[in-house]
Amino acid sequence: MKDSFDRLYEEYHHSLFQFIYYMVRNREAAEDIVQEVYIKVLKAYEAFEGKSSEKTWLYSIARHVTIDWIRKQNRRKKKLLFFTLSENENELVDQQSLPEELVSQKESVKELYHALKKCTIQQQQVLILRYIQSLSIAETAAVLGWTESKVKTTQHRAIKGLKGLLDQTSGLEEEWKDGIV
Amino acid sequence: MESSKWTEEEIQKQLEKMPSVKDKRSRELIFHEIEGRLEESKLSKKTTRTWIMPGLATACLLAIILLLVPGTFIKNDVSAPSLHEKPKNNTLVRKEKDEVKEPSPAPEPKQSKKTVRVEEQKKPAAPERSVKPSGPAKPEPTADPPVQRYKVKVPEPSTASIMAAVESGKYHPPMTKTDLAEQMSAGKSVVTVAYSDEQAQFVVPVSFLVNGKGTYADKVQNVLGSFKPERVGLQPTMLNKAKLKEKEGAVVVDLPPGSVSSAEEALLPKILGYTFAYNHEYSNVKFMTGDQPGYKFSNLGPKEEMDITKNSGGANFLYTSPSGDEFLVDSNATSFAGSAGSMQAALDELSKGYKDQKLMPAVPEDIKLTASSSGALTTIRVEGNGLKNDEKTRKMMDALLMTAKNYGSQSVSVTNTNLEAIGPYDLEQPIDNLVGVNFMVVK
Repeated sequence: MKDSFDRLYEEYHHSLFQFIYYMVRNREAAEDIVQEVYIKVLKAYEAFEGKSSEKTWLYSIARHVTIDWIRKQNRRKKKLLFFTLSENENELVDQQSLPEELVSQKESVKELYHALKKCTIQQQQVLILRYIQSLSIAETAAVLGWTESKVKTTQHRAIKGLKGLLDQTSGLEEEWKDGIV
Repeated sequence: MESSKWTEEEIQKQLEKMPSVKDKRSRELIFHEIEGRLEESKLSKKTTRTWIMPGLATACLLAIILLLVPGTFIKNDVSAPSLHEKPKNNTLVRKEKDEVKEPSPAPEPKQSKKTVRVEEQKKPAAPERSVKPSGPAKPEPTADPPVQRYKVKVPEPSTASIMAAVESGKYHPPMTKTDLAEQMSAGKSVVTVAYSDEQAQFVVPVSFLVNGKGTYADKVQNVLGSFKPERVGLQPTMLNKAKLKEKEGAVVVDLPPGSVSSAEEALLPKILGYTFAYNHEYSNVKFMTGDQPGYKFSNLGPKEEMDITKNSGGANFLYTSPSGDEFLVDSNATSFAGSAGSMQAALDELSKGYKDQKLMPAVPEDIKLTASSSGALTTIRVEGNGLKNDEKTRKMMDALLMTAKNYGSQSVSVTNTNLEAIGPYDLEQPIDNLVGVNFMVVK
């Protein structure tokens, strides 16, 4: 098991962690999820038939575990709201969302990071896999279990959506500068 | 409002340049946590089996309720004739009922209800349910089956991460050289600080990975200022009240007058030795009291300096602090035992411990260890059955490797275990010395 882990770690750990991190935006959660991914992968490693590439297989597992986590968080948020707990608790994830690596970046990068979060989960997955993880259209389709054309369409819409979001942000900034808001 | 500065191409380019976010944990730590989780999941499988009986009890309870409550209606409908007989001999009917429904219905449902409630509280979502007393919380388990199926420890944004750190970090293993090299390449270094147990019978050295530059004394001072040993069931020492600085290759410990208790005094050389000479940083401590040279100890009298090079070593045992955290402790770190004269003697001690003082053996009694050395390589032959690659054996390995290190061994070959690996240790090749001890992972 250790040997398999070592090899997987060597080849994929940083990419997987980064993918998960950009999806959940919480370091502790990403650490836990990546471990859960390894557990699933190591348990199923013997059964891996090699029909897909190892890389897309790993990403696919990571995606499932991450989506499960996000859904669980959403349910939790709803429950918290139902029981009228303070809003602040629900916003913990977002408050902690700016990673150290981004703190020193330009404002435009931070804007993009925040705008990305506002896209739908499907769009986020495509954008992260395609641009941040540099996966090809075919690889992204394999990870998501979609057709390549669906990946292309979602990617196109996601970029348009991001532009729209960033336009709004820039507009707001201009208004702040003008003292309108 | 001006038009946006972003074009679609710029967005795509910027996305490609988004900063890389890296996992800061070491490979070994991740593997260790995965192993822990795998064991946890094995345990959770066992605990799910314990649901069979409460499950059956609940089913029986429901069956009884169905028999009792709607049963009367069924009887009204189906066996209407018997109703006419009832008034004739009420006691007889009661007896018949008792014969048909043997288990006395009244007490049983009460007991079962209690067990059901207790089991409900034990479910993973219990903390949330305890906040929300009733009603809508109940349908959740059925609406949310994956949580029960996987028993995934889902981290909640901030509070749960602290919980996770506490839950998964009960045993604080030392670090391998490979891991340290990885950490050092990331600009980190190791600082070891001695704390004491609750009874001030021995010191527990705790290692930390720290960032930044500065002297070793500065780093120790930072750790002393930021880590609360009470969190892991340990006690602070006089060093927590001291000002530290490095001067002419020695460490200067400036203590407020009267800050060293007589109990602490008994452990003084060990506290200083494990803090300032564990990683061979300093060999000498100079005392000061409010900028004046020397410190007046109640038993030792006035002292200006102390040699701290000979205050570590011996066999390693496991200490479980009141918080449940587990630490490795050298026999020489205690006020009641010293170092065994040879590595073989220390290995023989490993399976004994000092149980009265809560230092438990990390090596099972039926395991016999034999050491032989060739230069800096020590070979330890393990005789005994039932060793598994699990947490318990990993602790045994740590105790064994730390003990060998205390007797000058540079690398250790552990043979005759019938295992290829134990925890992070590949047994097919010599294992390099471990670094630090009782590493505290502070998230």
